[in-house]
Amino acid sequence: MTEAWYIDSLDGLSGLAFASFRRADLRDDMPALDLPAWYVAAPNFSPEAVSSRSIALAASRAGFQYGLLLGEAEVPFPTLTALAEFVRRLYLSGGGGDGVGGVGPAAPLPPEGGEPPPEEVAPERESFDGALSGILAYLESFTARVAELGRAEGALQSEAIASPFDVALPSAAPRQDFYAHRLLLHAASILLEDLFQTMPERDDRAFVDWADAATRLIEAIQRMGLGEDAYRQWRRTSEQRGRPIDGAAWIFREGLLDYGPPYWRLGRDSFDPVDDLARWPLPRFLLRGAPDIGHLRSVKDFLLTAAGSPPLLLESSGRHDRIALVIFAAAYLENRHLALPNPYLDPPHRDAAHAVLVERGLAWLADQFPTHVYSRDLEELFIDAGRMVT
Amino acid sequence: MSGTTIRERIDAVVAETCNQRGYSDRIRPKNIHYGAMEVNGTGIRYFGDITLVLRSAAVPAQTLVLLRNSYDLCCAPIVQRVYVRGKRKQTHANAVAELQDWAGDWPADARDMAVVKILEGLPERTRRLTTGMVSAGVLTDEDYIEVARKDGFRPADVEELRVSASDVAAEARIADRLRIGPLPSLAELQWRHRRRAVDREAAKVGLKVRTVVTAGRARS
Repeated sequence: MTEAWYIDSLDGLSGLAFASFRRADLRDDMPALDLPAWYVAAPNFSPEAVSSRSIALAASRAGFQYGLLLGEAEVPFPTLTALAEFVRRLYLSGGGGDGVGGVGPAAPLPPEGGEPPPEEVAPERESFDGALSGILAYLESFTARVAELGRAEGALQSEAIASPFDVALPSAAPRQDFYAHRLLLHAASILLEDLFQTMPERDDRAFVDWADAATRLIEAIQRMGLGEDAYRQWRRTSEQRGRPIDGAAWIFREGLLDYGPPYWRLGRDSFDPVDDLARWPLPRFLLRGAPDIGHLRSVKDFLLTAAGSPPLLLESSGRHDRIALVIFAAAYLENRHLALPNPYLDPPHRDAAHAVLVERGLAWLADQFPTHVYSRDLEELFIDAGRMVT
Repeated sequence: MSGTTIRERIDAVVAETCNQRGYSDRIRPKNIHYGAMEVNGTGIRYFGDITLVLRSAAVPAQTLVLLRNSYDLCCAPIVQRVYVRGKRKQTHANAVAELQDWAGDWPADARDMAVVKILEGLPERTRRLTTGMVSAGVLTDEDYIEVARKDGFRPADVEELRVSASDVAAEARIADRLRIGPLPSLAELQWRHRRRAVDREAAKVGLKVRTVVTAGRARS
């Protein structure tokens, strides 16, 4: 039997694994435990040597699963790097089960609501394709490689892929900066629209957490220089749906339009953008009838799952919404301290600024995306990882 | 040894070792809950970020304590005197006999076993051992005193949570980079986010989270 890298024990959700270079012997009468083993752990996933496999198998009594098997066969990896990347991707995908605000299990999806955005909210879904050519090419090549590898059946089925994607917006594309603006605005609008569809009554205790999520989202949108456009779309939808723009909504209008320092922002200098992504609900219209992401709840859940398993961004029905949300989240993280107030942003300046935001977000996102592709049965494990928590 | 995998066979040996010691409750391999003896460090760091320290009262008398990880039965030179190819019953009996040599009962034998463990890793010395040396000797990296108990535990049985100083430093560095850049990786952000969630959950149920350095000195 050929020697390869194998997992001795694995806690995928915690991003922990032990591995060794050997033949597949976990089902043998007496596995060779004297061999050196390696330990791979979040958050860095750099393999670290341990003296023997004895500690690795003992871990299987501490929440780790015993080896990694598909059917009856252990899964071989050609290199330790490919194995460590597998653990990293499993960890990221598993984070998709954390749910809104913290660590899972996710609350069930509310039974009603979640209307898709009207055309006025997302008028030009195709209009930001020009900003997506790099990431789309990467995703399509990724999916093609998975199909080529097929199913594992005991063979070494993983392969390094070239560095993610070209993060620069295509300079030849006309109005490329406008594409970046449309993309960010689209993501902001669908997040805002869904959040307002779930606004509790103000005497409901749930209003406190809702208002926290809403103010943070509005502040993020405003800081990214999207406030005025987002407000216009939000107001048009509100009028169309007969939603009153008074009371709490008025406060958010002030926030979106940046009329001076909004009073609710006072004392909020300290913030954590990851907490923000965790408290912003994933629009429900994206989740209904989408078995691959139906268990996700927050934008953070989605970003993690997409980084661990990018093919889900190619889902035909929600492709543009999904990609726009992931890029919006990455752009927000990467530009978390930026402030682009509305008054200084006439359209050409605004579009150029948004091209910078999107490029920075894509550059960071490219570093988070997979460096290895695996056979289809292993790729399916990533999709399932978040569901194990929920 | 009986069982399909090496894990099942080792669990069967540990269970048999308990039962031969005449504990009042008969123990079955699938019921065993494993832990490690710890003085004031952070447990076996390879098994996760957070160590849960049990209250003394939560560990019943007649709990099995082993001088080392029971999987060491499969490592040289022990495996050569235990394993008989093709003869599982003989191997099982040999392994149980070997394990009895490493075994003691909690709490009666635990101190003596800790002394043996500490001294076997140190050169002969005439001065007193420091607390740090004792902590490091009881649990050194991959080498630990294994505890096998029949039952699990409830939140009320947990004395405190411990995290390592090196992890806390890594967490602080991620937070610092999140504040002033460059932006940490997504895995780092997620790792820190979850650790903060554990802090929040621990506070909700009134559990202390202590930071300790490797040699077991408390920092907070």
